[in-house]
Amino acid sequence: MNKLLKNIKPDMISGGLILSFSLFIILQSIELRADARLIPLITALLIMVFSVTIIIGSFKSKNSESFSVAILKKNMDKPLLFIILLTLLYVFILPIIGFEITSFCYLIIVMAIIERELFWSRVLISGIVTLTLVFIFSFGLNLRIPLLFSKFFNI
Amino acid sequence: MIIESFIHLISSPETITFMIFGVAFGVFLGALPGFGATLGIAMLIPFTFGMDPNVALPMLAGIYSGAIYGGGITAIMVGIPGTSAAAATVLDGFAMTQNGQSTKALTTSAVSSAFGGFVGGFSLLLLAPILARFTLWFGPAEYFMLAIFGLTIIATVVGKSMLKGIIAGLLGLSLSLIGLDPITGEPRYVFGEILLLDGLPLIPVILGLFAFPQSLKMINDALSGKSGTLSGRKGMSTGPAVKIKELLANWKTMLRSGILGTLIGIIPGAGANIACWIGVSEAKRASKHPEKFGTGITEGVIAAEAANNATEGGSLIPMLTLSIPGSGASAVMFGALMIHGMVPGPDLFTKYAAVTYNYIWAIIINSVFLLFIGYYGSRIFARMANIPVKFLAPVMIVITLLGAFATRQLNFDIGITIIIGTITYLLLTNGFSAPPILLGFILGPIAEKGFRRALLISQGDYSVFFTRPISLVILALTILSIYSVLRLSKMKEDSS
Repeated sequence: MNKLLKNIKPDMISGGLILSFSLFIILQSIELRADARLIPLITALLIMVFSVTIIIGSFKSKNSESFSVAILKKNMDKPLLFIILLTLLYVFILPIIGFEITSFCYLIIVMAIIERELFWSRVLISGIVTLTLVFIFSFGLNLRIPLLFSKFFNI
Repeated sequence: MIIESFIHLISSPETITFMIFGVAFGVFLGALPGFGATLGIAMLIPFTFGMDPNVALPMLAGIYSGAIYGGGITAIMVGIPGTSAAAATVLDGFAMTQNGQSTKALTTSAVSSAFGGFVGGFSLLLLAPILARFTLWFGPAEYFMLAIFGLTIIATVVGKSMLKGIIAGLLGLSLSLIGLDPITGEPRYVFGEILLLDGLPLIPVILGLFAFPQSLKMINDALSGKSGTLSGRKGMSTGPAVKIKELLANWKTMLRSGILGTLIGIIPGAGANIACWIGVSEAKRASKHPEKFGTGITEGVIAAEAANNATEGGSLIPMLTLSIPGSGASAVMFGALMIHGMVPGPDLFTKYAAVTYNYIWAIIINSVFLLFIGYYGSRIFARMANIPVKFLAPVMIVITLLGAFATRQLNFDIGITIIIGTITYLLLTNGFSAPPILLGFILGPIAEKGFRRALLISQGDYSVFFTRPISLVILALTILSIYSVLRLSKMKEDSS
């Protein structure tokens, strides 16, 4: 398994995923009317041709790093993946507990993931940033941010 | 009337104060990813209801000028364009910051932006009635050819791999296909989601392409202990401001980009998003050292910033005379004029001439304010580079998500930013670049609409794209562009 991962180049993975995406567009386009699918089909076919070229090119390439080293270890470490999932969670929690608490907690957690020390600095910065954003965008620019404060006071 | 309006404008302390406020506010908004000129003008329009149009419109013009420059600040300091108009500024501007020359890049940007705004404003004042007639000759075939010309620019800005750049452009084009078919109204790739019927919203897509992946990259660098500050070196000197001598040496680039920006601004739908790329592309083509572009040279910043600021004046020409907004911001300005009882068209230059010329002069004078605010404030903006990444990156993410939410007040838009942002981050780590995706996304609908409308009008005759004179001129420019790119690639290969 490790040997297989070592032989897989990042371009093979990205090329393969993009190729799958182009096939997906083609399959979805079949149901459309002839004139509505013309440009999507041309686009998808071009993507297909170029992604195959990338895959073929990656077989010839000898110098590039393996997929496991280049992607998994260097660019998508576990903490980063956790931050992305946490950001997705932010979207769902935002309308429930409001911008103030969601953003405050989000900032504290993400800062803690990056650096575990300086707890009180994190709390202070998260609080100041959240309040400043609320003040500028909600009160200053009259932007309708989902605030718990407005829910509580029915504003 | 033109001179009277000028005297009226400069003799009104109230108008001047609001103009300065507009420019400063625009710079602030532009520096926040996702909060560009369009959103800034749209947000302030409600506050101008009770104001005199002679005060309100110059202030809104100030927001536009300031926001376009402001977009360049984050492009230079963090590598994130605050507005899509500043996407091309990232190439050399951010490289200059990494070379320890952020103050130089910011002051260059301020002077170029002011000059671009000046050229665009004067063009609007002098050429509006004449040049606006030219756009009347543009039919769907010309719009299609123009979009294709824009797409060929992708190849000049792709970075290391031209193949990956082209794929990125096509991916952007495929994103633009989501929503209702522009001709038949048939839903495409919406999967039953009503919010996708209007297509992917521009601001969340821009934030997903630039702000979110850049924040992830900053976090990843911080996690791996690569950098503690934005500049990569804590406490790093940001260097001196640009010298006048160096700016004067690049006067040709500045003037060329200013004129190109104005001309592109006149063409409806093109705007600052395209102008900045064409400005850089043409400067690269004319340069004796094209290989230095992207490594952190002032010429690259000048070319992008002079072009994108010049589009303001240009985009207002068809809007004020023919009621055709040339850009998103001018479309919002269209609404602002309507709110103040002024219907764009011939009446603006007769019935409302005083207010109209007052507004046009404001665009020119705002350039002077922008020059001072940008030039002397640049040292303050430059300090952003020393902010610790561990604090800045999470804050950037929250502001990005807020920016995505701001336009339509929909959580759905935040989701779009996160999904596109994560995919873009993975693409970036594998040698792809984000600007071609944005170009494909912006030009895709223009190309598709132009192509299909032209075929409908010509009853399926493809020769319509090659027989019209303007279409042929654009085609010639496209071929020239492809030839130059291929030649440049060959030169690169030979030199390496």
